[in-house]
Amino acid sequence: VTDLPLSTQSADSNPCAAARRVLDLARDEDRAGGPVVEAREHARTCPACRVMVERQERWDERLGAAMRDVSVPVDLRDRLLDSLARASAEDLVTRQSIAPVEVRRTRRGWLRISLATTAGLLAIAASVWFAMRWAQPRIPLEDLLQQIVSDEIEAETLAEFEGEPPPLPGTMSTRSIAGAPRRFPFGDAAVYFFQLPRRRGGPVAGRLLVIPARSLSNLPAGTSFLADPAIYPGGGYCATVWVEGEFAYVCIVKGGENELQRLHAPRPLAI
Amino acid sequence: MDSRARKLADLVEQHYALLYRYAYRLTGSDADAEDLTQQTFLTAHRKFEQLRDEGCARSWLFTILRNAYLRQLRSPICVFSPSLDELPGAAIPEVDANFDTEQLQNVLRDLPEEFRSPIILFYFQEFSYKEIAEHMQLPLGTVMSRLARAKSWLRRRLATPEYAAAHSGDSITTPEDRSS
Repeated sequence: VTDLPLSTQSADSNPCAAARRVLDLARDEDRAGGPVVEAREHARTCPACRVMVERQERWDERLGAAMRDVSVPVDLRDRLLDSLARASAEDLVTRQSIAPVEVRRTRRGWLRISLATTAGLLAIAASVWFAMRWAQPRIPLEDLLQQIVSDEIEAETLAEFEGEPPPLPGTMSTRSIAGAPRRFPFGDAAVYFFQLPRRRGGPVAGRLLVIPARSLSNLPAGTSFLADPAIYPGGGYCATVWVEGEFAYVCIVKGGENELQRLHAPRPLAI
Repeated sequence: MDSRARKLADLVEQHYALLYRYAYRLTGSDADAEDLTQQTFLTAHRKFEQLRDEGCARSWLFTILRNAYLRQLRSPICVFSPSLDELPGAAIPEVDANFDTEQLQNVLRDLPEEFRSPIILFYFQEFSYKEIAEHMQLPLGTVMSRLARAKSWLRRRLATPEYAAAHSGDSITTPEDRSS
């Protein structure tokens, strides 16, 4: 009140009116204020103002008591606490609904989970299989040749190649290699058995092995039949190896390099 | 019960009665007062993080209640009435002037809210002028002026029944009313 009431005092030519106006809003807390003290002093010495101020205070007391005289419902407190408890519970439910909840699963739900799990496991198995396949240790070319040469492999002992056979080489005369390829035992390799008739000295007999180049190591740089000859002579056999595309070709004939050279010419081969 | 719920329960214990009385004096209706009080605590529950200083909880709650009330007010009572300057001299009534609670409420109803809220808080004797000014978001001088005018108005309306009867439905005009 200190900054309000007697600011009006200067404008009020009647000190009684000014004092009453100040004291109308004065509270005990305002006793220290200059204008209030001044107004109280005036009221103390002015009988008319003293009466008016006392009457005013009694009126304020009565009006204040009436203003505060509101019956509060006896159960209001409990109802408020209940509503807050409900609001808290709803909050909790809302928070839980946002968080993942454990759902009671139906049979269909379990079926879906089973299928998803199975699919996942199959995918993992396929990945492992492919990884193992690609991570298969490569076979050194020398070991392969040794195995082919040492084994007396006959066409009848091998299964026919199923599905799409590996392609025949484009740089070797294969016009007569029309027989079905055979599946070589150690993996995706096809072997063709052939014989080339000769006028003298009997036919040139041999095998053409087609194998993914990634399966072998120590492959030569040649990319066509006998163009960059990598000749591997052995006991009674002679082989040459080259790579076309993603396949390695191993051609083995009974005899020596001369027999291999005869395969270069475009002569009909007889299986 | 978590910490927040416990603090809210404490606020209910401490302030629900005064809030209800304030709401009743604002609305003049038991049901509306209950609704406002409940709405106040539910809002406090939702916005509890906004209460940074628990020492200000009472002012905060009263502000929430008043804002809720103002939102509910579709059209404040602003019918024409004589301004304070046009009122007869603010005679102090005899203390035994008779009025009952209903009359008081009727007179309060005729006061625009911007006068009603401060005068209610003033007579509750729980708030300093500074707190009332903060609650109303007004300068202290404006609040004092409104209080003086509202007190004078109440005196006139309650102490002189003939005047009250003749001016039933009148209220103090606001500066906005007069400018319009």
